[in-house]
Formats: sequence, structure tokens, C-alpha cells
Amino acid sequence: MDVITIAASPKTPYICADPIKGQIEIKGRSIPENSIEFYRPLVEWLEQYSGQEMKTTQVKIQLEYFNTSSSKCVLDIFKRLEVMYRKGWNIEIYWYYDEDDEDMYESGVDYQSILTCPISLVEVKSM
Amino acid sequence: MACECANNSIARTDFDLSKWVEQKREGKVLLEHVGSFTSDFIDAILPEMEQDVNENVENDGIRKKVFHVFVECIQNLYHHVEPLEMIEQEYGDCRMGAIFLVVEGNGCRITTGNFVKKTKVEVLSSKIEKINAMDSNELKAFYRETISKQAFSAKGGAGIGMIDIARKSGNKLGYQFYSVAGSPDLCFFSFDVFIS
Repeated sequence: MDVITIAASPKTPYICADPIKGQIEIKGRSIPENSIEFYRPLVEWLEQYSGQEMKTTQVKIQLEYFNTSSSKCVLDIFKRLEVMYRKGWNIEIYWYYDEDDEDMYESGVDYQSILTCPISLVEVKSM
Repeated sequence: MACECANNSIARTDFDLSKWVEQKREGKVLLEHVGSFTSDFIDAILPEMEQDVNENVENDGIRKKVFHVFVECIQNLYHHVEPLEMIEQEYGDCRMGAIFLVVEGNGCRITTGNFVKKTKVEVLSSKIEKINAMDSNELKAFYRETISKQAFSAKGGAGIGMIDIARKSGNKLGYQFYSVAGSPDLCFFSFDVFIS
């Protein structure tokens, strides 16, 4: 299966999903009006990826801003990863937040409390 | 900040847009738009708004919250403005909404206004009253419960916008419904968020 790469825009994040490396990265702002449509390629990719041979998969999410429809899409992606985790996949989720961004830290804690698969919160020093 | 109405009834006096706009201009207005809300308009206004906030709000934390809440509010308008044919001539579009970003004291107020179906008044006001009655821990639990259980709406909403706005702002949400003369089905929904 293919690597998917989506370039960042002022309202949407950079996305890269690499099946060989077992890496998914989402970085930037996620404030589109049509979040479901925006995240659909990644959701479809993940559906296909979860049918492949199990491998350690790293998921790195570093968002500056995200709207509530994006937060729901991210939760749906995490729920798919959680299903894989329960099947025995080694899933490592990293939630990056700026050291000054209490709300983004809280969002990571929200996901931790909702999901059973582990999510590491990683503080990033402000520039 | 308490909401303007303590109950869920629609104000008895008919809605007067120019009076409402005048009232919402109180303070230092950074941004004001009364008209239609398209995706292109939102694309154009966000950088402008961000620059205005950077220049006028000193506190980093408040700046981030203002941006976050503004995006949520403007996208609510994009998704939920109901068309009112009789205003088309005046505004060039029957899907009229309004947004204000105003500096007030040490914080900011974001006000939105839009026409909504009267059938939605009960649901909207109950939701806001429920949110306003919660403390921060209850809001956190309500947010987590709602995002986990609620499916996406037909309009692509996650059903957590209002809860998220209340959590980010840390203040009670202000709102008022006004009846609209000549429109049996619609009323005007005025919504205030204070970020401090």
C-alpha cells in the first residue's frame, strides 16, 4: 500500500502516513469546515493498513489549533487505532503540546481518559 | 457574566438588527461582519482576525483562546445560519449572520447573531442553560461523554462546539432569542462569549 502525504494549508495540517515505516504524522492547524471529508483519506488508509501484517506503529500528533469537528475526527482515528491495539498491535501515540498551551495539554488528557490504548503527552518548548 | 435572559423564552419585543448591532459595538471593536458566511470569507477573515488579536491582546493564553473560540463561533454560523428571504435585498444574501470581536477590559467578547428556526429554541436554550450550570470539572466530564457517544450531525458537527466554547472561555455563555416581525418560523439568536 502507498504512503499518503497531504501538504499543510492555512486551515488543514500536514499529514503523512507511511505503511513501511509504520508512522502516521499530523502536524499544524486543523480547522476545516469539512473535517470529515478532510480526514477521510487517512481513515481509509488506516482501514487498509489495519488489514496488513502487524507492526509497531508510531502516531505523532502536533496541533497548534483544532476545531471541535477535527477533535471528533481525531478521536475516530484513535478509536480505530485502539481496535488495532486490542488485537495485539504495538501502537504508540504521541500527543505533542506547546509548554504554554494548557488547552492542548487538556485535549491530550481528554483523549487519555476516553481511550484504553496508551497516549504519551509530550511537552514542546515554546520558540 | 450572566446571560441576558434567565429563561428560555423569546424576547417579547421584535428584533431590530440595527439596534442590536449598535449594542454589540460597545467596546473596542476589532472585527465586525454582518452578512453571509462562506468558506472563502472565513479563509480571508481568519488571518486578519489573528493579526488584530496579536496587536490588541497582550496575554498569550487569551490570544490563543480567542482564536480558538472565534473559529468555533464563525464555523457555527457557516453551518447553522437559516435563510430568511426577506433580508436578501438588504444584505445581498438571505443567509445573513453576524460576528463581532470586541476588546472589553482585560479580555475579549465574541458575539454572533443568526436566524434560527423557532423549533430549535428549546434545544439550544436547554443546552446553554445546562452548560452554564456546570463548573469546570462537570464541563470536562460532559465534553468527554459527548465526544465519545455522539455521532456526527448531518452538517458535520460533533455536537461539542458549545461545550468546548464554554470550557475554553471559562465564563458563562450569554444568549438571547428575539422574535422576528413577519417571520412565523424564525427567530434571531444572539450569542455572547467572554474570554478573560
